Amino acid sequence: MNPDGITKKKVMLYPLWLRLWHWSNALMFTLLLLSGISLHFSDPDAPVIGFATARVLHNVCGLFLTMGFVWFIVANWLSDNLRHYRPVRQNFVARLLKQADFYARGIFLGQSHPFPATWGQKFNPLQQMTYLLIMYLVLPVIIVTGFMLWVPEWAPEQILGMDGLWPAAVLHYLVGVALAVFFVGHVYLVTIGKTMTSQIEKMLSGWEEIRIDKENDHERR
Amino acid sequence: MDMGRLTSVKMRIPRMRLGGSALVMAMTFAFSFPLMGGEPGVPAEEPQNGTCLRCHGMPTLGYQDPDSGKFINFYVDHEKFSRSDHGRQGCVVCHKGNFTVLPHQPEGGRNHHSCGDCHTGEKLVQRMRLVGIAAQFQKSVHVQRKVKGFDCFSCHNPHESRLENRMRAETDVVRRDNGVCLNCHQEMMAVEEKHQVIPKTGMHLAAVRCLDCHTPRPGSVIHAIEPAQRAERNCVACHSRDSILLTKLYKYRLHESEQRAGFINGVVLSDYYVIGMTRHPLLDALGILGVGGALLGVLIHGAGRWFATRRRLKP
Repeated sequence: MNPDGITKKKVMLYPLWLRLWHWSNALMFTLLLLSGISLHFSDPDAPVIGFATARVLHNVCGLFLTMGFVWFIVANWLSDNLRHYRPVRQNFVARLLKQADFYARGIFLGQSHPFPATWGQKFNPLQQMTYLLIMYLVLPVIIVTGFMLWVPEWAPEQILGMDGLWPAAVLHYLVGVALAVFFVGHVYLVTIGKTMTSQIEKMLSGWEEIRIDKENDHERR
Repeated sequence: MDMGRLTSVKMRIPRMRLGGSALVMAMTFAFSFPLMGGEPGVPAEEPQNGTCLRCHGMPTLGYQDPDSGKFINFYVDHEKFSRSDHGRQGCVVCHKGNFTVLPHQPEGGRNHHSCGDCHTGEKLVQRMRLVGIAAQFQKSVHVQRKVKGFDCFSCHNPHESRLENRMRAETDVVRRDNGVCLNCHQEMMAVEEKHQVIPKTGMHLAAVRCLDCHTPRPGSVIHAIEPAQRAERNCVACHSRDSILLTKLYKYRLHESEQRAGFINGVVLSDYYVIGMTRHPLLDALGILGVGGALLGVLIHGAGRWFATRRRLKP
């Protein structure tokens, strides 16, 4: 403990089930992205992955991603990991802006992270909002529309006079683009830890050094 | 012009299966009708279509061919005929002979017509592209393999054909066109089983025409039907921006959509979604800009961090 009463302690913030889901999800995500690009921007002269292979790969990976998603939702619900997804309503916008200001300005000035990980909240406000949206809105949408494209019989026959697959296809594509943008940002933010690889290390080991101060004595677990 | 094959092909009445007992009843019923009252050898008054359709408008009119064992159907759907491109023609314009006796004695036997008999004249032949069609037809597997009795009318029913039919919804076009092929090929093979190489076989068979894969590119040679071994097997042939479907199945629809909504909207608002083919240029641009922008953003941010750190660490 230092004179300010701040203690640092390594705690298990990323349990095994979460790490397994995270890395399998990362693999599926990458393969889905590549095969999705191959299917949508299908070009006989410049295929990223051949159409027939991409189709099978996309379907199989989509299925595994769905299974992983269900695994995450159930495990997150049953474990105490769900606490990290409960937004803090107090000063909600101000906290978001503070984090955004850190990314836009503070990080270049060498300031410390405004919301370091604690036992009760490992995400900063922007991370939390993003993950909440991704896990509980964006992923369900891409999974449902994906299954509609995989099994077109499940899609409505017509919507507004157009083939029922159209809205599903457009939504699937747009959400895919949003997830690709998230993917780029997520991979980049891996590098903003203490060192370039510290974030990857914690996601492999599950341990993270968090600050435990007098005000958060309950965090001494 | 070389209309040899077209002029030599003979008309054959479309076939359909009928129950034996229904046939017997129909024939009995048909024979019980008085014909035009003429005596053999005495010229009779030219019959009107209604007279012919009194018998030929009965769906059960036909007989079993003793040679092939197949049921030969003499039924003409009055509704479809009157709406067809030939609907204003009198039956006897094409069918000549003595119809006062039963069975009828048409000139030159039962099969004695070809498209080229009526579709003459340079302009008409040019407009209907009959010369090109005749050349394609010569290359068709049906001609190459000398399929007995295969002619224009094996696929094009003159009593029902209607140019406007191609402007109908694609599902209707597919069902109708594939029905023509399946009329014979369903008896020859288990069609769905034969096409297992195509994923979601049933859906593909209901969504594209046999012709779209079984004819060479581009779609303007749709009459040169190829043998199965040469069928299109490359998914990207259809599932790409330059899809062959745009020159085949969607050819007329695309033209109509373009006229209705302009080129971009015509493509975008097409009624059917085909992955890889139906792409919105604006959505594509949005996707590329979004992901490209994100990549550029993190590159700039990363470079900024690198320079800022270097400057801070400088003694």
